[in-house]
Amino acid sequence: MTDHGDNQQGRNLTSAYLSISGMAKAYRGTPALKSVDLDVNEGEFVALLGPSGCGKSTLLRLVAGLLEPDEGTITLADQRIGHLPAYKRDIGLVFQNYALFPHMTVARNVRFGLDMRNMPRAEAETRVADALALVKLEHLAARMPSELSGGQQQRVALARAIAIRPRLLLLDEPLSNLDAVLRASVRTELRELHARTGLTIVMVTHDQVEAMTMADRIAVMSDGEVLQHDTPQQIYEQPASDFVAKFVGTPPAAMLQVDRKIDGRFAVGDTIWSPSPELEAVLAPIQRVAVALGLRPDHLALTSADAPHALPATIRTVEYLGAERLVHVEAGGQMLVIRLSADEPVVTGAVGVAIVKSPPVFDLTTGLRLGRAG
Amino acid sequence: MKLRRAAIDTVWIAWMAIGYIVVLMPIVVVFFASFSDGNTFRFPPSGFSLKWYQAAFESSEYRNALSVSLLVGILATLVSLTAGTLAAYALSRSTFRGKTMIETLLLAPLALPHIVWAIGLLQIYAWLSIGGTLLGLVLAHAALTLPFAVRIMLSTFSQLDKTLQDAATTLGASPMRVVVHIVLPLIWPGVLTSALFTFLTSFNEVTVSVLIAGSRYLTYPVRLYSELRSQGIDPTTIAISAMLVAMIIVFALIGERFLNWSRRV
Repeated sequence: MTDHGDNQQGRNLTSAYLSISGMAKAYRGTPALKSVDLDVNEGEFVALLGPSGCGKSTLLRLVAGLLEPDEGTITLADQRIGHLPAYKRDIGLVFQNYALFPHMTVARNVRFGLDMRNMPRAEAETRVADALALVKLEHLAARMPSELSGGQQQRVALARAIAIRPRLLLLDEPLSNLDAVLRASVRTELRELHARTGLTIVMVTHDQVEAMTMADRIAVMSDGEVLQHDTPQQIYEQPASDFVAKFVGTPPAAMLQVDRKIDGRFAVGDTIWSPSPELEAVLAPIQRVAVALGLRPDHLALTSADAPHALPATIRTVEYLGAERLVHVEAGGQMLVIRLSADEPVVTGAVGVAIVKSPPVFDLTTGLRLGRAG
Repeated sequence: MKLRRAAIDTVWIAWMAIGYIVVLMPIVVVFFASFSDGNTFRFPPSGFSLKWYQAAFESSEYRNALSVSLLVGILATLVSLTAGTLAAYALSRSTFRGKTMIETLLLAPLALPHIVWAIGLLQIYAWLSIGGTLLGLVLAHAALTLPFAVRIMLSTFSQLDKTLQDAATTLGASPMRVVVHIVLPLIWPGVLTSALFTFLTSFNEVTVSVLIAGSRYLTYPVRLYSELRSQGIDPTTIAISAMLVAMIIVFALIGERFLNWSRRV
């Protein structure tokens, strides 16, 4: 490991509370993480978001100390912790399957970390009561884990991790084992818990809605790398790559390939298209034969086929969602989604799609953001 | 429809009853014959007395044989359980080439004929000059019982959730304390089951013990066997056997009640 000795140097180099740098890990030659850097501020709620196999769980286990990195350093509260064994890190971890000790009561489970710290009994009992009160489970202290529902087990796991007053709380897919109804309420409860305790939280999730609704900042990961680390709003509005744009949002952004003819005109599929002056100003300086526009429903509006700057399109399906409808259209052989409020009339047949807001533009091969507008 | 189901049930029950009778009848014979007041082994028994029980408690030969069996059984269990638990832990926690082959090899004594194995062992013990010693006998029993220990411990470890150990670690438990507070409490039913099966297998073993036990370490079944060959059945042994069976049944009931034996093996 690279982080021996130079504790003094490591101090105050960074202002972040948790600072991960150059973190790499391979399993039998297959890289799971490729040199990841990540900073988390004190009291922040950060989500590691990505599809399965993107390395987010590996990163979480590395921070907890359950895995050893091949390379890289971790600093927590100005202290290098890479060389500390997991049991000396004071980092709470709530496991996806909760991992409650089946041979101990709820109270003993919560007290376990305190017993490991040899805390005097009276003090430990108070802490256990406080932790259980925080998750509203005081009345179940004497139960065995097998007697609890999934949601209750999760709250015990939370109380157990919080009871040790961790310097950092890690959540591994905290909502994935809960049913849909419970998931929504636990989401709010976790937010509240974060606000009340002021804990710094890092959560792993593959569900973008979870990440968007709960986190202060999101680190979108793919293939062992952090693609973008930003606020949910920035991630949504200013995605750094087409992967981020397609992974985040309901529905996700659609990619529209726009070709540039030799004479400078633009084409979508076989159709020559003249973008609005604002969009043209964004596209013009980009020296590419073809680019991809990341179009969310809010970038688009349904117009008539002959409206100026509109893309000729055909309506394919309409999804009814109560307050709104999602209209799926095909333009130049590519699918786009437009949002309409429920009372707006849906025209049928040949329509036009207007791009009403400048969308992010991506390189077709690398997927990276081009000519950043905002 | 209902009638047909009842008929099918009756056939099943009858079939099960036949099975039980075939398996348990010899035990019943021994049990009742042990209370006979005749001077030879007879079934049905003539009269009722406890005289063979009295004789059993007074016979120093049988007491010796039983204590040899007990000693060998306990030592063999300790050796086989320690080796088996460690082997099972390693097998359950790692993946490597040839893992399946090692697992199969560990179970080999279950499948091989004991007599062939014992003849080979006799030769090896002669080279090592531990033939007829307590060490030799214990090692032979430990090897024979290892498959039981490994099998039961493998299934025990496969039911042990690795994340529990990780959870304990993140809560501040050192590796030693993880073993003491998490692993051991969760595997002890498996260890106990494994220990009892190992012990009973050792206790019942005849073939190998006959060949390699010297005159100093005659186990109870070996003594019984040689009596049988020379003088026929001594009713004293019947009384002892009846007591052993009763003890084992009690063990089995306790094991089933508290450790769910039938689901572990």
